[in-house]
Amino acid sequence: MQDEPHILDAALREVIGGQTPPDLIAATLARAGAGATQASPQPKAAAGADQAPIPLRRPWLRWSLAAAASVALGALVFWQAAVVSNPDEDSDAQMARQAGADLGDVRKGPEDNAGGQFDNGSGGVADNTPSAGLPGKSEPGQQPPHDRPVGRVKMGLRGVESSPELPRGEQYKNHGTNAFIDTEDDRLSTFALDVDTGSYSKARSWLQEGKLPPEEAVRAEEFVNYFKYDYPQYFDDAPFSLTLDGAPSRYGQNLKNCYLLRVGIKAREIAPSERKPATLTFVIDVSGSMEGETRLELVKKSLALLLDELREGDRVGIALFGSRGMEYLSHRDVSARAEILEAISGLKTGGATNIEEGLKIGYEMAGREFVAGRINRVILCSDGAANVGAIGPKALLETVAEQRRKGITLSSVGFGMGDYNDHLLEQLGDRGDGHYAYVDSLQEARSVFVSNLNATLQVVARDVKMQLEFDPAVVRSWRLIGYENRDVSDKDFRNDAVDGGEVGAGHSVTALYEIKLADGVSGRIANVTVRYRHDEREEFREVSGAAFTGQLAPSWELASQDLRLAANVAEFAEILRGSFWARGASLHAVLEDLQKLNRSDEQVRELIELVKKAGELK
Amino acid sequence: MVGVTNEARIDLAALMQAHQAGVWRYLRVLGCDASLADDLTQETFLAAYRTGFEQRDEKSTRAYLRTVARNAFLKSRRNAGKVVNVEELERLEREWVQLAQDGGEAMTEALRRCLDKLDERPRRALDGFYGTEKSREAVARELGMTDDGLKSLLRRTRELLKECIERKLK
Repeated sequence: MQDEPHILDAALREVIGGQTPPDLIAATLARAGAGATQASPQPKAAAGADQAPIPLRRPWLRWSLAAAASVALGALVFWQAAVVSNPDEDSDAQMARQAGADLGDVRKGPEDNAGGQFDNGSGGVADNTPSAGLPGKSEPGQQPPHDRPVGRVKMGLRGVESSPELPRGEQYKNHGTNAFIDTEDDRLSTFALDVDTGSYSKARSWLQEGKLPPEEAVRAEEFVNYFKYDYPQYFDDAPFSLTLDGAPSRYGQNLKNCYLLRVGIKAREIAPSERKPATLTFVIDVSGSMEGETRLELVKKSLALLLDELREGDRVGIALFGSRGMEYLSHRDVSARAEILEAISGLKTGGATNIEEGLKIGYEMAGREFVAGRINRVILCSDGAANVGAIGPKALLETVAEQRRKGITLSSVGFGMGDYNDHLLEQLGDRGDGHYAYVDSLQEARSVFVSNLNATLQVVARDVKMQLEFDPAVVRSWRLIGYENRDVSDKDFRNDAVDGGEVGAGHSVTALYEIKLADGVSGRIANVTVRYRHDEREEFREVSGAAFTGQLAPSWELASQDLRLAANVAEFAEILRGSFWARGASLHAVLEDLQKLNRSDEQVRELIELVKKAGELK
Repeated sequence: MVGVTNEARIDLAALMQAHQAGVWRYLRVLGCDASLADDLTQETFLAAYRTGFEQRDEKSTRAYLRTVARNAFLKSRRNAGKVVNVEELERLEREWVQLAQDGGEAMTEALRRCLDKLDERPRRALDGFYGTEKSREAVARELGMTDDGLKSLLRRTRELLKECIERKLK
């Protein structure tokens, strides 16, 4: 036991250990005298001060000892560097940071390079309005030794074997898991939207190789946003529609009054002919680490698919990088398809990975070709395993941001397993106002470069942020599932210097909240506001809506199929990343519900197989 | 009072229904394990009605029962030959009065909500230490920490929880 007793020791044993006050009335009466005939009043549930409750042992409060014991299994927990305390930060939120601060722990904080500093700005919610994406040769030479990867950790999944040792060079960043927040402490949830899907396809690769993905590789929002949801499309003046619904939560701890709230955004679709003409500059990694069918060879096939989807008037140029960067193919119209394909087919690997120089040359090429009003996009195709270059990631991201301000955006497409830097590629895509995808197969390449080309290229809303204001009278606490690295200070919701996300044509973006409602209360759950800048104009606009308890389905079974799919995907992600709020959760339950859905599309069929695989690996 | 009339029995049952949880929790704060707390809780109420205790207001009833329970605790310690740290006891008593005037129900509920805010690491430390019968050393080993490291983390986390509870109870 501890050296000095603490007032909370017993309370902690009660709440966590299940050692609740017993009912001793009968035993005491028996000791008081023989032949007790008067029945003691039945114990009541918790009540006000005048009627002090007699809490019986409540099984639902008990921690599963098996689950508690499994906490102890596994290796070190990885934490980011301690964050400087923000004086504006809620003191309860500070509690979570301070509990591990001197051990270098933080749940979430400013990213190394992304997001920038947050200025104080006004917060609040807008008035509701109805509302309703060579021939040359690379330099020969030896490949320098790979740097030791940073952020590589071994984290155990609760109750399961530790996730496998990361292949050499795999780099991810653990952004922690959002906790529940009491509305009386903080009623505002603010974050930047994210349409990235790389985390899901990367996790898929791991599972298909017979391994569980590293927990830090799993970003719940990217899992959820990988799938298509049939959001109603009604736009009025906005480039997207807003959908709000919910249902009793099937997952999570302490399900009493617990619901899932879904906020969905669906961007307006455009016909291929409506898409703006594009000037695309491919910056292709041809370093030695890109050798293989799932890397450079897949890049070549992916580009071939893309060329078939572009139309006359679109222009393509290619820069390469290995140990050095070079201009490989100057820009030309896609009508010169054969010439472009021949150049692509001649690519070979070798050398180190100098992303810095590759991007420098790519941006120079893009700059020469820049025409306002076109889509001016650099598309980086790499495994991200940068190991040479004079500047570090921070300066690289600043370069990307600077080019974005000039109108040249960047998307990153990741390839390969092992020697893969998920964190860098995701940051580059986010900073470049493009997005980040991971391509592990030709099928995924088709998804990124064919089926979703318009969404990939044509942004319809920029700097998109979302803010929910929960009503404390209705909602006791809330938790945003995912978006940990997209957090925005509430005060910066209308600070336009703070970056939001980009939404492409036809993109759908989903945010899921776990909410705990007050007992027996109905009414408005939250006001929802989405702030964005239309791609064509500079001014910011807002779309608002409100979620009410009446919009919550009366039961899980009566919830929409899409909501159930999103919830199951989120739960899958939560289990894979070892989320504290999925402790004791079951992949079997996820699988069972997925199989009941009326979804026969390939994506969901594949998901079901992945859940099965994960279950076998646990 | 020799026999226990039905009326007295009802009174005793009603008194226990209202206050047994608080007395039990108080005894646990003083340092009783669950089994001793069970016994001493019964002793407290038996002592109360055997001496003809008459309830007045809630606050004085609680204070009275706390006194009786504390005396029962001290007596049990003496009988077991254990030394009591009086200063420590008084500190815990003061904190109890500050946080758990209602018998600890509000504090316990506030604790539940404050626990939800914790990050995973301190929460896992609490789970291991308070949710199992393992020693602190064993829990530290399983979490990959030194004993001192876990001790520090637990201490810090408890203080943070206490601050959170104090804010909620204001």
